[in-house]
Amino acid sequence: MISKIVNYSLLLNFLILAGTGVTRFFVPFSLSLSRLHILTGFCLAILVALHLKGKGRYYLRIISQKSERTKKPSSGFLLILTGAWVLFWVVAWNGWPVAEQLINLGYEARNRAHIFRPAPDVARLESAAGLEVAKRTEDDTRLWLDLEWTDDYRELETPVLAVWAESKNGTLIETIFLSEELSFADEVPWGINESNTRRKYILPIWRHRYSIVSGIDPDGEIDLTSGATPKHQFSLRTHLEAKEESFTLYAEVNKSADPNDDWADQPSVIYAVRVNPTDIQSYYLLKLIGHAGGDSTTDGMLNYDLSTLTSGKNLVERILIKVDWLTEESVGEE
Amino acid sequence: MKGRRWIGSSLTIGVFITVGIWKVSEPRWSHLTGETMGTNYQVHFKHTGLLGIRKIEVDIVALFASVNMELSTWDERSWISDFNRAPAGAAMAVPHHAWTVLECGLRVADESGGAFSPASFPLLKLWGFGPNPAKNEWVPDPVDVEKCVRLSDHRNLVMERATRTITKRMEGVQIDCSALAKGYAVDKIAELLERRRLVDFSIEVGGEVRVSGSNPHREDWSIRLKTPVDYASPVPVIKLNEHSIATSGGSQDFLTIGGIDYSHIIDARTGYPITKKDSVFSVSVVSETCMLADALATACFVLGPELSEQLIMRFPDSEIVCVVQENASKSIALSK
Repeated sequence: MISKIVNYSLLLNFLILAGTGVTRFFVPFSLSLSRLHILTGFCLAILVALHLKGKGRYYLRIISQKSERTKKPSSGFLLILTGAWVLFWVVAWNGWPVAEQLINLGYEARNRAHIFRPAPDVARLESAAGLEVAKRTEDDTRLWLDLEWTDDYRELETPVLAVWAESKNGTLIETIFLSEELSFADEVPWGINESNTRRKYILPIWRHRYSIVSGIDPDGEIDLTSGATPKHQFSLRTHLEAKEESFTLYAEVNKSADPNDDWADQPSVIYAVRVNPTDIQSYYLLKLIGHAGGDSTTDGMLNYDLSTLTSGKNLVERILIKVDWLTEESVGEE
Repeated sequence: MKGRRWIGSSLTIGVFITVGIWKVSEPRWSHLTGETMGTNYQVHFKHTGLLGIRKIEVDIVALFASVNMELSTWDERSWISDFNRAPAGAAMAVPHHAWTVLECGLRVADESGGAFSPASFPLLKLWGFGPNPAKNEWVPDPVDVEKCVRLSDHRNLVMERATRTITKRMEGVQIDCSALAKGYAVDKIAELLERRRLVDFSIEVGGEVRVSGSNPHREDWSIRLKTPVDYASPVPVIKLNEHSIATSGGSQDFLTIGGIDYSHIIDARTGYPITKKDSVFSVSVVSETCMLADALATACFVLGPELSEQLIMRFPDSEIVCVVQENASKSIALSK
């Protein structure tokens, strides 16, 4: 009876593992799918162990060739079979030809230009009420952001968000946070009909800035940008370490299917604050400064007239940041 | 019965292998990005799945490392740092990358009448740019500026082709190839891709661009020129299917002293940086090689639109576009 349960469970788990494995290869990253795949993998390992339990003698017979010769594979065959599997694993592990080419057919490889992942020194903690993002640099300078959604958006339908830092020249230094819904594809379900919508229509200002540094233009009309080499383009760390240049922190927020009398779907809103290393304060509240309606999707310019927005202005309760600059005193304390 | 099963299995495996080979050998676009030379790079190329992308990525990273080892003033162990510490009169062997870059730099320096100089490292340091930048709060003493101008004269460098050596004529002469190194790296990556018989690609390192063939939409590559924040005219876009474009401007790296923004681009003849109040926002040069475009763009930014046109006349296959910001911002193409 137990062996029947094990065998049947093995079949089910194998189907799930194979199905999720192949699906993971072709579709954007999904936490749920990955979780299912990994946990099924663990179950399968346990089931295989149960299946093999008590079969030691069987394998010994195969290896020692003690039973009838006609039914048993030769030792040469076993050696070749083992060698073939070892070769397969080595090829897969090292990404040698064919293995690498096959992997390059996967969704992640084909869409790596559109996939956003935060820097390794950025930590994030999301909850129904809001989110916390912390960035700690090598020199121990810390940037901490705390966002609280308004009551209406705490449980369901959380808006999407991008947080980034810009130099005083207006160059994007680093995207610190991007909602998971937008991180793995340039087109995501959006609006009342949940139709596939490009990120440039959801968070136009961030997408415009991002295209200048990433070179991936949302329309495909511009392939590249030529300009004076940006200083400290990619790393906030160099700014914070340098302790000599201010930066502006931006947050762009949008909510799907949010119409009012003036807009079929209210555009994203932009919060910002200028952070200066010479400031005495270390806490800053981001201020609502404009929205990304109208031509923002093409020119990336902000609109400062917020009078036509209603609920769009009330997505966020507050965005607070704290910057702990490395000071000589703090070094002394440690 | 057994034979039929074998035929069925063989056919199934055959179909899988054929579909696999067909999918793998289908042309597709790949995009590699990373950080180098204090900025970022991106390489976009069309290839078949049989090409090892990881190998290309490794080759690109190795190339950047070898260029940095020779030409980075930020690395104290680089060849250029060794040369900058070397005494006057000592002939020093020049490695491959450095030779090519210096040859091009000295040619542009000659043609620009010394406005551009690969020997301007003393001036850069005096004004507080380059590695370990000083936070200058006042304009340097004119006497120091004059001294550095003498050191920054490109004629202080003597290259000996037969022995592949370089000698400095004066004590304290130091070189900085930042104005060409990124462009040179772009050219070397292009060579690397061409050796693999890739035809359609684009390479960008810190705003210096080289393209070949067509973009993923099978059209010429569209390159947007960066413009001032309050730019009034339509954003200038240049279409290319070969050649390189490099841009120089002072909007990104500058020093504010007494309310004036001094850019990191310094006129080696006077010793003074180009300031932001000057009407030119940026100068872009299209050339056959990105290294030449890079050097010419810097030289032209120093010279200004009128003299730039004369300089560009001396370089066949090169063209110039200036983005100016006067009352109304606009771009002007100064072609031959």
